[in-house]
Amino acid sequence: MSTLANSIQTNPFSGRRGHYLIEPRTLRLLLIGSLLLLWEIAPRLEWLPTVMLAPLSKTFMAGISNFAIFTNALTHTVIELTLALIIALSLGGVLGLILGGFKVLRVIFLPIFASVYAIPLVILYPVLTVWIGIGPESKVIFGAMYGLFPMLLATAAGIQTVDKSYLLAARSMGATRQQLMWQILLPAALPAVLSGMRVGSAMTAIGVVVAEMVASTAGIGFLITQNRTMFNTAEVYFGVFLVLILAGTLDWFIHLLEKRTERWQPRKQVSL
Amino acid sequence: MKQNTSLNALPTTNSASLTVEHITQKFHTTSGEIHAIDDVSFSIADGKFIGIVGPSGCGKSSLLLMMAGLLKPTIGRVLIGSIPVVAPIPEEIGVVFQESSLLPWKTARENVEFPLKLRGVSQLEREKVAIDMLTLVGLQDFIHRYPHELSGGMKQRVSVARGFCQDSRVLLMDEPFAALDEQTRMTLGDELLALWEKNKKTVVFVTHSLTEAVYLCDEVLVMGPRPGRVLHRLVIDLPRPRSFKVMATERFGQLRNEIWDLIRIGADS
Repeated sequence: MSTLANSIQTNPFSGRRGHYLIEPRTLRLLLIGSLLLLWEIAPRLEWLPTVMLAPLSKTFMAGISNFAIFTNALTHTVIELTLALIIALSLGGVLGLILGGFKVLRVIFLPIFASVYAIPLVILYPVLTVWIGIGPESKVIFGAMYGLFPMLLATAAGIQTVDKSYLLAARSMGATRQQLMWQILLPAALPAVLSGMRVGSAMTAIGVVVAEMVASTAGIGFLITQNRTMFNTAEVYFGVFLVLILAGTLDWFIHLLEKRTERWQPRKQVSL
Repeated sequence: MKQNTSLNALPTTNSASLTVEHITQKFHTTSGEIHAIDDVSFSIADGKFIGIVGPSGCGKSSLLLMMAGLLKPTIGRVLIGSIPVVAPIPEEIGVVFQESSLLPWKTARENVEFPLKLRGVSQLEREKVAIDMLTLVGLQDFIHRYPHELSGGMKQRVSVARGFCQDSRVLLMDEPFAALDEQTRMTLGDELLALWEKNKKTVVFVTHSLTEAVYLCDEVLVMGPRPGRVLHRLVIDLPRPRSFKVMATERFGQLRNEIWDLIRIGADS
């Protein structure tokens, strides 16, 4: 208790952010910490039945005792996710670039893609398994489908909204079509493309794990479903925990990329 | 060697300069055809500082884009020397745009050297040229700053430096100082004149400000409202080099009034 009181009292007027009663960062950590604490004590004090929520410590014990199984599953998922990401982001980026750059194609195709994006694609998964089975290929393709559209739409929007005066200036300096593409359009659209990557990669992760959960024989998603049917609650939660770590890692990667544009883009966030 | 030739490729012996021949511009909108520019012709001698003034919508910016080869006239043509301008010719014609067309992801130096980079000038050489140009406009301490870290006046200095960096014979300027406050605008005008006195480029300077036009230019083309046409070509017979004191002279006031009268009459007719 005393540390809590201290942090509240010492923080108020420190540095530029002095107008916060508690630093947002501190508050965030406190919140996460108390949730983890709750995760441990809620089932232990039988506020919740352990079949609904396994305590934090038991969850980790389950992870450690089934280490080989979980590593194996994680490897499967990571490989599928990586392949799906490569397809989703590169294909989405290229298609977005083309649609953003050519008005005719944009007018024809963009409404279609925007509509497809609005469909819950998971309804197509059973069909997909009929076509290509329940092996890793279907996970890769399904994940890629999920991530493709946000990447494509954000890139197209980014290209479209590039300030025309940059293009005019570059043309006056004799820039060729290729130079306009690589030296003006792409860097100018980069913040939007990055935000597409952020959303797209999160969606791809969802796609891969959901596909594993619906029908498969391997991967974290598969483990979660399998253990759930056997009421191995701790194993289920460890699987969930691994998915969280995976999503967090992806987000961190994108954040690293975004940092590179921060220097010339102070506080200006392009959101999808 | 190759870079050197690309930098100084233009033959300086050719004294023929920029010619605008019977330019007419029409464009279609949903509400019908708009006749933007009507049969404009003039020519500019080498090394002159020419102003273009006129009411909003008289087509002066469009005219400048046509002179840069960025916009195709409906009728007529633009010549540089005896070469028709149908596409941008960066070695011959440079453009400085209004506000900031600086690339926000490039530093001041990278922006200034960008036209040279497009031409394939080596990193070392274009860096040197860019730093020299930035020093000339007083920004030697801001070489590595991004545009958003510079004031409005500094950004326009970078733009001007970029324009001069191309080392073209003609420099077209589209209201380059329009977004600046009066004092900054005056200072930049003086700096521009100093640069121009040094290398005597042919400058075409589009502006809204009559004071600026009289202060900077050798001749001023006064344009009338849509369809845009040249009402009058006024010679500014003020001695050079000029300083701000010239603005207090009677002649300066006379010339300024003369342009104003032309614009007013043009608007009524």
